[in-house]
Order: sequence, then structure tokens, then C-alpha cells
Amino acid sequence: VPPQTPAGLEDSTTMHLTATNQRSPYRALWRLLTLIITVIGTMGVIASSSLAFTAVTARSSSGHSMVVGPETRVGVTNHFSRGSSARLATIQPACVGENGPGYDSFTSASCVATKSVGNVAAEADHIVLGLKNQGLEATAGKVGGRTLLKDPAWQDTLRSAVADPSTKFTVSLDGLSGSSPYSQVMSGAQRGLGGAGSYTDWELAQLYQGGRLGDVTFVKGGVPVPNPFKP
Amino acid sequence: MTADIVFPDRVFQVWAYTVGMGRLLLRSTKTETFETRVDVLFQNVKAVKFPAVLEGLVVGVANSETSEEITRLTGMLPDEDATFYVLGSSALLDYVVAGVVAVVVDEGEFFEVSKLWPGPDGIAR
Repeated sequence: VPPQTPAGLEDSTTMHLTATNQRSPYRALWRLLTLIITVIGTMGVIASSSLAFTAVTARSSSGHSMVVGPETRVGVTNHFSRGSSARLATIQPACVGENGPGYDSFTSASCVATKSVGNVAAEADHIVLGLKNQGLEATAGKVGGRTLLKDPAWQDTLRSAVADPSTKFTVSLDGLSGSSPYSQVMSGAQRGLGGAGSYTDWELAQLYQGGRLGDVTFVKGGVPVPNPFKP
Repeated sequence: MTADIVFPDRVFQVWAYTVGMGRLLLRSTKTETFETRVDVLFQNVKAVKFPAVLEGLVVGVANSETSEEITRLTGMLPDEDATFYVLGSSALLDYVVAGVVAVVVDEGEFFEVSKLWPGPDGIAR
């Protein structure tokens, strides 16, 4: 039975998206500039990474198109989410188009995991953890980080982030049980380590196991509080 | 959005929901007709309206008219964290307001964990 467009859906919602790579006319110049910078040895990595993406347009069969950027979501799932292009290496082959990672071929059903392919290489990833029903998204917006709420592969993402020393973490203590920040965090981490507890408990356990609690910015009501784990 | 979440001939059931990250799993199990299992996961779910058993499933983003209707029913507005997904499986307006949707088609059995839900509570321990 051929798919039909149910009432209430956008025209663009029931068609395969094909993406075309719109390379910047200044790409060659940028590449040369990047090479020079790299040779000089200053900020080479940042420059080359930040130029890894040009605009990508996803075009539907009806001609509808949209510019695909780090904040735009298309495809089977959200192929793009906020993050840094330092995550380029996490793009899976099935999601890599002919022109390289992040350029096209968003139609594969196998590309189910959220990919983090933002365009700001200079900024480290900043993950905000805490209880969803305690205004976590607002807190993330306030501190300039991102939650994992839109990441179906959130466990893999967090494990990788914990192992990446450049990743910044903010943990909202709002709603966590405990009489002090220390007890709030450690009681949750212990539950997580014990194979019980909530998703947040598991996340705290990962930070504990990864030795990252000392790096975390803890906030209450969006306001930083002293980190009891800081050495 | 996507043409890949189009399963008009398959029966889906609400398989799991957890408050953690607001994760909702719909599943269509293997049958004599279909040799695959389909798992559809919504995450950061904020509102739902649909029957527990769906005779066919097509997921798409609501158009402006439907969005207005969902806003009228929920008081919510679509934004970066809340996409209005319409479940086009019936003549009724069924929807999920969530942050993201993902789908996995595999050959797993009905009692086996989902790649999108890797444990009894959705956590790979």
C-alpha cells in the first residue's frame, strides 16, 4: 500500500528528503587560510573544524526546501542537534553522504541516532543534567548549555562526554533529595551505581565514575553553588 | 520531516513510558505477515492524545492549522523543545508533543529489549 499523506500533515512531512550540498564560494579561500593557520600552528584545529560545514539544503520532492543547520531537524530523527563539531567523528557511515559527513544523504532509515554536528568548533560541548520537571530546559538556556532530552542515544552521548575532558557539565540540583549539594549528588550517584534509581541518578553515577564531579558546575534555581567535590 | 515513519498496515501498541526524559515507546511486533519489529520512540514527551492501540502509524509534523488545534487543546506552542507530531493513523486528531522521535526496524522478538529502550526501565545498566 503506497504511503498516503494523512490530513493534518505538512506536505514535506511524508516525503523523503534529499539534501544538496551548497558549498560556499569562499570554501577554497577558507581552506587555504586554514592551511596557513595550521602551518603557523595557532588555532589550526579550531579554524579547520569550524569550516567543515557549509549550508546544506534539504529539498523535498515538491520543491519545498529548508536550510539544514545545527538547529534544524530533518530526516528520520533529529540528525542535527546542538553541539560542537568536535563531534564530527561520531557521525556514522550510514549518515555520511557522498560529499562527506554532514552534507547529504539524510534519507537512510538506519540513521536513527541523533548526531551532533554543530558548527561551532571553538566551543566545548556543555551538557546540562538534572530533573526534567524542574525546569531543566530553562536552566540549560540560562547557562548556555544543552540538555540530552532530545537525544535518543543519550547514554552513549553522556559516556562519550564524560570521557572527553573538554566537555563542560552543569548539574541542576533542583528537586534532588538531600540536605546538601554533596548528599544530593552522592545519594543519587550511589543509587545509579547500584543499578537502581532514575535517569538522573545514572547520569550522576557516570560523572562520579568518570572522575568528573570536581569539574561540574552545580546550580540551584539556575544560580551556581559551591562545588563540594572540587579538589 | 520524514517518510520513514510510515507504517499504515501495522498495528502499534503503547509499549512503555517513563518519566525519565519523558520517553514513550510504541511497538509493532512481528506477525505472520511482517517479519520485522518496529519501535518508535518519542523523547521529552510533553503531551499525548491517541489510543493505546494504533491501527497503522504515520508520524509527521503538524501543519499550521493542526498546530493551532493542538495549541488550543494543550495550551502549548511548538518550539525548539516541543514539536507537534501528528499520528496519522485515523480520522481523529491524534498527536504527541515531544522533542524528538526515532524509529528502529529490526528482527527482535516482542520480549526482547529495544535498541531505543535498552533495559526494563530504558537504561542500559
